[in-house]
Amino acid sequence: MINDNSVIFKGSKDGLIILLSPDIDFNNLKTILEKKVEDAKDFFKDAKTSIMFKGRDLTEEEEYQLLQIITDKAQLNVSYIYDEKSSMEPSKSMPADKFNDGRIQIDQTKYYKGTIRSGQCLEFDGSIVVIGDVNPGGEIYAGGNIIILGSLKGIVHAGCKGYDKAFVAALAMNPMQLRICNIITRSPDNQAYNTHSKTFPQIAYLYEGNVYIEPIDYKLLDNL
Amino acid sequence: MSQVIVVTSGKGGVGKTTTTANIGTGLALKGYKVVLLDADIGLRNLDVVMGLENRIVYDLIDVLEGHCRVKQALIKDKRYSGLFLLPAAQTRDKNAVNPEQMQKLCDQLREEFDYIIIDCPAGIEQGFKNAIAGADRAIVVTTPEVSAVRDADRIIGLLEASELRNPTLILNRIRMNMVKRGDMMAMEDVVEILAVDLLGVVPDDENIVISTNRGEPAVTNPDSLAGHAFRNVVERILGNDVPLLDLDISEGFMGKIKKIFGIGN
Repeated sequence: MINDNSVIFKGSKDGLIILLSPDIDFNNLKTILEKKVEDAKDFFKDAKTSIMFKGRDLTEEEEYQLLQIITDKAQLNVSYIYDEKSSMEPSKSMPADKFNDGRIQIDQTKYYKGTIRSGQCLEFDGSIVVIGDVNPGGEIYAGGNIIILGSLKGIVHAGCKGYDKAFVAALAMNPMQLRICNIITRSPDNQAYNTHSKTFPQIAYLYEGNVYIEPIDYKLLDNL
Repeated sequence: MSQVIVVTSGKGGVGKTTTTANIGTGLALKGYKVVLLDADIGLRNLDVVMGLENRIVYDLIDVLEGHCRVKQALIKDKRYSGLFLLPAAQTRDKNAVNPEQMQKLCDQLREEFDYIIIDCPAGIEQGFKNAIAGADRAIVVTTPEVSAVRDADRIIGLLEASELRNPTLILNRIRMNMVKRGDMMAMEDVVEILAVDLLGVVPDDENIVISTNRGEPAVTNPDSLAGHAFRNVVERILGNDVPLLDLDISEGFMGKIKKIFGIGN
């Protein structure tokens, strides 16, 4: 017995919302979803959207199964999965999103003017440009690149959702910790605490599992 | 039998963090397994004083909220293998933790370590309550200033109300030449007001500023008088009876040496 209201598609400004009935068996739900997706195949074809599941608590495994159905049957490119909870309070550093093969929307950029001080934290799914300094203890988490037009002395994490082509650039590069994708590097010990020596612009990038920090020049930028 | 010791003061800036770092390092030097727990959430400093700030990945809040295991958040000291730091979070505040969680964490750490030293934040609010929740004994740090002694008195009262009886006292940053001139409270005056056992007297020492900025606790420096005082404090924590440093003579002696080399003031 297929109840047509157990799975409902709804469009929203953020993407596609799929309302799931909490009352029926999960396997039943899968069949219904499969059928519905099949029906709407031409509509979805090769579209790119983000998806939210609503109305039912899903385990990670269940969510994955449902996504498999959607991507297989409708050739739909799912760029991002969100739920109500995560859209309200983004978690500190999420593991690489396994559904989008590293294709993350990093083309959006957030600009911040001012100093990021100790205890302050800037988070964004795209790239971040800071016009100012990042002081020791200040933190920046970006899904994409991080550019500091100032002195970087805090903690930065570029590509924090698994994007390994992310880079960090700063006018003065003295970070406490610099993370790109899933690699963590820290500043050398025994660094004098009052040096102002390194003041030329530098860029940090990931290459074969190592973070390299080099002065910015055109040859390097060509290879990035 | 492991021990949880909280280092507290009430007033800020009297040297809680420095004392925590030095006692912890001193105990580790003696071969004990020690963890330093920074309870000053939002204003963490212990990591800087220990020179471990660039190693922090997970912190106290991550442990208490279940984002990671305790082992993942513990930072091994770069000099002593038996010394670990559990750093505080910087982007949260004291209300993110409650005393029950701290007590549970302390009990968990007891299984691994001989000594758990907690760096308490200044004040008597939530942060203080969190820090003392799991402690067996308390060390009160004060300086020979009327305001600091007043706050220490208040803290001792609160500790006793929380069943932490017989706290011991560390009198920090004393200057014997000022005491002699009558411009500073003497050790005896402070002990008389507070009426608790004295665990140690630490002289004001330039080496502390240098070592704090470098991230190397003074207790490891054989030339530092304050370092010597902290080594004695460690002995007394271990139950050994060590006479108080005669600061007067030592300072005169050190002063003479300094003058010979032209670096005295």
